[in-house]
Amino acid sequence: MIELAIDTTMMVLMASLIPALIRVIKGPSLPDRVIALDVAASIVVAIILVHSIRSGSLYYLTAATVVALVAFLGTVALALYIRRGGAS
Amino acid sequence: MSEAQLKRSPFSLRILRSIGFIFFFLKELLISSVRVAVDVIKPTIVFQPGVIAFPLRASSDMEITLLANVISLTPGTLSLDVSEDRKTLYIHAMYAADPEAVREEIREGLEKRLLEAVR
Amino acid sequence: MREVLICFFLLFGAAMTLVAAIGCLRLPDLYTRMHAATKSGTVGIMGIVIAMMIHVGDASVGFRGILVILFFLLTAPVAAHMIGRAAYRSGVPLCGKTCVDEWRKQELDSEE
Repeated sequence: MIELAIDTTMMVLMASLIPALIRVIKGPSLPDRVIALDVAASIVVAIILVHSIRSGSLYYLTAATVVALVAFLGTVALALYIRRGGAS
Repeated sequence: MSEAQLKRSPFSLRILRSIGFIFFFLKELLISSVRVAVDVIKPTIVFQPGVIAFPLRASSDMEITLLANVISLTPGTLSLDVSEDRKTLYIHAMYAADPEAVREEIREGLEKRLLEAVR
Repeated sequence: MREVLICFFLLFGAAMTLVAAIGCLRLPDLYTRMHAATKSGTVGIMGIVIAMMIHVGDASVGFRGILVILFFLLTAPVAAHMIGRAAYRSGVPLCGKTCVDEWRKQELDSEE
């Protein structure tokens, strides 16, 4: 039963990357793209965590933390860049 | 001891209220995510978003930061900016047809509980 | 019982993440999209971390999992706040359904 749930979760997460990436391509303004990238990063974190459950290796938890941290720093840096009037 | 420290409520009371606040916050977070899900799945757009000015009672940096974070994670509201004089918080709300009702809800629910827990 | 809990949290987290992604694509303007991204995204991650904590059932993983949840609870609103402020100041429009904008109103008042 757990195997099935893990597989379903993995497929749903993979599928939810698609709308986020469509928004990255379409997004009329830079902030739209940044938010969509943020969502994509959190989906990647979720995928890493699910993979960690499946493989039983706990080191992936640290990797997920690092990905989340880098995504947050990227979002903050891009927010400061937008505020200074870049990209317009 | 400064006057502000003397006026604070006793430590044990603050701890109890903080724990109560954490559970209240988790409940609100669950409700908010489910509500967003309903909004997203509905075939037509029914919400009326708007930007609302909220007069702050919280004064110190920590109180304002906590309140802004908690507002962002509770149903239908998202904090956008604090004004220069730190008296007003600008909030983006999903259902802003009645701004006064949104202000009342935050003031009586979240802000009151948060200030009770911190002060 | 434990298996049922794990499955429930996993599927709940996946559903919330899916809602965040679809909302990101479907909602009409940047600010409503941020609603979907912050709230549902955070709850989705929380669900999957809780499933992992139950599955492993180990104190060290438990503490690190709580740390990851706290990290997301702190950073998601901060990121949304910074993006929202920068976007509003640089003039990203609100969608046509918007019924009230008190920020713009107060700025106009103070200019007069």
